[in-house]
Amino acid sequence: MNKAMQADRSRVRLSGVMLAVALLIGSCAVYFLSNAAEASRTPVPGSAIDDDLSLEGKRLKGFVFGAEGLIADVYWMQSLQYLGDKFVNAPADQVISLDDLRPLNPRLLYPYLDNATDLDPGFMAAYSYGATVLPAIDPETAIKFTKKGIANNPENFRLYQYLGFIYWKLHRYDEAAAAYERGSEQPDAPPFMKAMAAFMASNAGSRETARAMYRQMSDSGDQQTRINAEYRLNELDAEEQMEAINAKLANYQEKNGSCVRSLKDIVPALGAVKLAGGAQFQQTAAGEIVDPQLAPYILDGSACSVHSTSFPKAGANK
Amino acid sequence: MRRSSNTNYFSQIFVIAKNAFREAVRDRILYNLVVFVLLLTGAAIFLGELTAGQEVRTIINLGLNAILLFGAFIAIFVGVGLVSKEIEKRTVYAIFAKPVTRPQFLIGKYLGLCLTLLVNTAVMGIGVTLALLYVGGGDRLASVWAAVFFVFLELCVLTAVAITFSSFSTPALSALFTFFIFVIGHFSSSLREFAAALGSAGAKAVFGTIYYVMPNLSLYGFRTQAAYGLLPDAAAVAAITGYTIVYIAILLSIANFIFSRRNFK
Amino acid sequence: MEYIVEIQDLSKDYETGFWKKKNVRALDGLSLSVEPGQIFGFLGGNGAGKTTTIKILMGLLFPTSGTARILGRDIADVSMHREIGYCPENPYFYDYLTASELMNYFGEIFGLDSRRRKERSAELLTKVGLAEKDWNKQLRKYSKGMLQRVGLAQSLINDPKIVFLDEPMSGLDPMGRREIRELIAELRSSGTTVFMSTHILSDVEALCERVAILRRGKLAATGRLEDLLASSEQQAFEISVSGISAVALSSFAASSGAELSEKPTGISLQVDSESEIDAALKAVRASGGKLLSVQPIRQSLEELFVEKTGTA
Ligand SMILES: Nc1ncnc2c1ncn2[C@@H]1O[C@H](COP(=O)(O)OP(=O)(O)O)[C@@H](O)[C@H]1O
Ligand SMILES: [Mg+2]
Repeated sequence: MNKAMQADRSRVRLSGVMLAVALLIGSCAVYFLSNAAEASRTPVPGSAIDDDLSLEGKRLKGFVFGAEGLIADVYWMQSLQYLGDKFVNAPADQVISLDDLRPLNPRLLYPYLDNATDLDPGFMAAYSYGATVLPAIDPETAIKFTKKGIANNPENFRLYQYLGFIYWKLHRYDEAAAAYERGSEQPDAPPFMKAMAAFMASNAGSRETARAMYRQMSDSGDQQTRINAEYRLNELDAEEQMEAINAKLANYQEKNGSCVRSLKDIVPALGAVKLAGGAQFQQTAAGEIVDPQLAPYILDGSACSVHSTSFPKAGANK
Repeated sequence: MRRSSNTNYFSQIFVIAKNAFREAVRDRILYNLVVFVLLLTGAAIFLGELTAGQEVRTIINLGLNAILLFGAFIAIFVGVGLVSKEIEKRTVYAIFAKPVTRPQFLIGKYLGLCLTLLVNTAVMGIGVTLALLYVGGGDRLASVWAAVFFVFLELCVLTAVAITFSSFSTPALSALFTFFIFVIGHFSSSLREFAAALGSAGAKAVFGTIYYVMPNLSLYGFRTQAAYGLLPDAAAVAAITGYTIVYIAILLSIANFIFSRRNFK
Repeated sequence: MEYIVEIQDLSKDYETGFWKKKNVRALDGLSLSVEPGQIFGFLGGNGAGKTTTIKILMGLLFPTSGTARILGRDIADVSMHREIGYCPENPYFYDYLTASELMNYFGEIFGLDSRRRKERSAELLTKVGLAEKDWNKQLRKYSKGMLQRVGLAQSLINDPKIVFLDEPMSGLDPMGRREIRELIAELRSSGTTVFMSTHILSDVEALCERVAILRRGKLAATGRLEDLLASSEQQAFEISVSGISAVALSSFAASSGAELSEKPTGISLQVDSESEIDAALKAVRASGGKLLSVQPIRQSLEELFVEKTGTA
């Protein structure tokens, strides 16, 4: 009797050992096969990002059990993702300016935003994002898109602000003034709408107007718009600073007949300059003069002028 | 437990598998095919409108992902009841008084559900094929069937997970666990990359372990590639098939170890 | 091989409770041997451990300690199952199958060829008294008694040398019980050993040569039924009378120790032995009552049972 019991118990122990051995061998096999399978995976082609799939999602409106908002969100996220991927995947040597995104060929951006706002006509984040980036791709599309927003939300002053902004960038100041004017008539419009309308009429091309414009953008809108606006404000500061530096450089050259060796030579002179809002030039511990993103200005000896690595377009534009 | 006799060891497994398949059919599990066909027909008709002429790839994407989801549903919910239902309803009593060992029963039931899934997946594959031919996507068929094969392999793994959990847990909990594994199994590859990017050694070790212990279900994801008409190379098919077989063998060994010790109270 | 079933010192504890493991001892050192070629009655009240024992023998439960052999082979040896049959208590089968499909399935498991399976299925289903029109009905539509019959039929599909029946009469109507009784008797005459658990005493009396009585997981008595009964020889009788009231016989009852009770048809008088019948009949006649019947009471097995199991 005890013999049989022992046999039974040893059988249990044996199958336990067998399981352990099987698990050990199996784990090794899994390890290698898993790696092999992972290595031989077929990648999805890179062009997949520009597929026209699901650009007609707006037709789903009314057939998705009330989930239009959700699908609009998906389109919205896709539009952000899409442009972001374009930036990330751009060749390293390609210089991209926020003023001209056409080299990236982001042809699906408008359809994404259009779908998002068709599904959810009150989607302000989509309008604000569109007003900021679409002008850099195709200004007429940007105007059409913002006008669609106004048609859907006629009482929202923000959309007039965006439209005014787009016209201003295109130097179509009359239309910009009209847009601000109409915006200022809307119920919740803050006083600056009226002020902007006046600016457009009198002083549209000035840096002060630009500053006011971007400051309001940065106070409003979604995160993406705010990031863009803050970049623009910094760029304007850099522009102003570079103008001041270049003026002092010209002074120096006039006096001494040659350009300075180093920017440090004009630091004392720059100390006297009054920048907008009473700001001062910023310096590193080593005494280098830096732009608003804390990168030193670069002196170009032959032209006797400076440029900024952070804002390659600043100065060149104006 | 000793086997009854070598000549009959596999034929008995086969008999049990056949009956498990019959059970699935009688329980009307294959009725999900009707839903699938309706979905696909609707898609074939309306997608042209929705996708601006991209219906070929949309049908592939929709069809293949639906095959996976429908199949996963069956694998999880039928898989966890495969053995536990028989214990609960006491139908195992008569079976195990016959010359049937517990491994034979477990493997037979497992293969029976795999057979059900094979039929289900194949019929759905044919449905996708017909829909593709209808919208003029005949040139993608090879890719689609490669993806269908991978989906089937994934479902076999999932069924093994379900049966393993149900060998020691209640059906409801087993279904929940299996569903978690289904989700994590699809993420583990990305999670590992994410952890590698974070760079912390602890995170790397944890996610690396999860990656190898959990079934790597993202390996079976050939659905997007199929929509581009790509084909997996032979090495990939061999590696993934090998991985599947070994992984399932491990799971069933564990399930069997536990199941063979169970008292049917 | 002298014994067809040998149980040695078998014990089984059930674990109950989720957090606090508590053991319930269902079987306590049971030793038992069964000779081939007989109908062996396995008796015991509810919860005595009959089902537990049979499930251990079938490999469905693992004993806490002890061993058992069937046909000379250890119960862990599944190949022995080729030669045994088992009908569980309140059997339940795949409800999506019909009776003949179930028989066919089990036949396949035994490796019977398809002709043999058909023959055997028809033969057995007829034998257990299932009407042919029900053979192709799904088992989910079967009543408890019908399932019991299917259970018996499937236990015999392989012509077993020994068949274990756990309460084979439960759920059956009187007709059914008679049919199954006849079937079991027939099995015995064809040389099949029958190991049946039951608490229905009339079946035991009608069928079993040997019995074992189980009480709270322990063996209370075992042996030939006749021998066990011989030890309590006394045979009681019931005398039924009408036309008088119970009061008329109360003095006789008080003096003789007979038991007096009122029945819908009249009065019943129970005496403990044959020798007391005469006196009782005299008393009845003296009081002017009309004698309806004198019947022996099958009390002895019941008494034995009560005595050994402590339950009725
Ligand atoms: N699954 C179980 N869990 C806990 N205790 C059980 C279980 N099955 C039976 N028992 C207990 O074991 C004892 C014997 O039960 P059983 O063998 O079914 O008796 P019988 O068949 O003679 O009526 C009883 O006390 C019962 O309560
Ligand atoms: Mg019982």
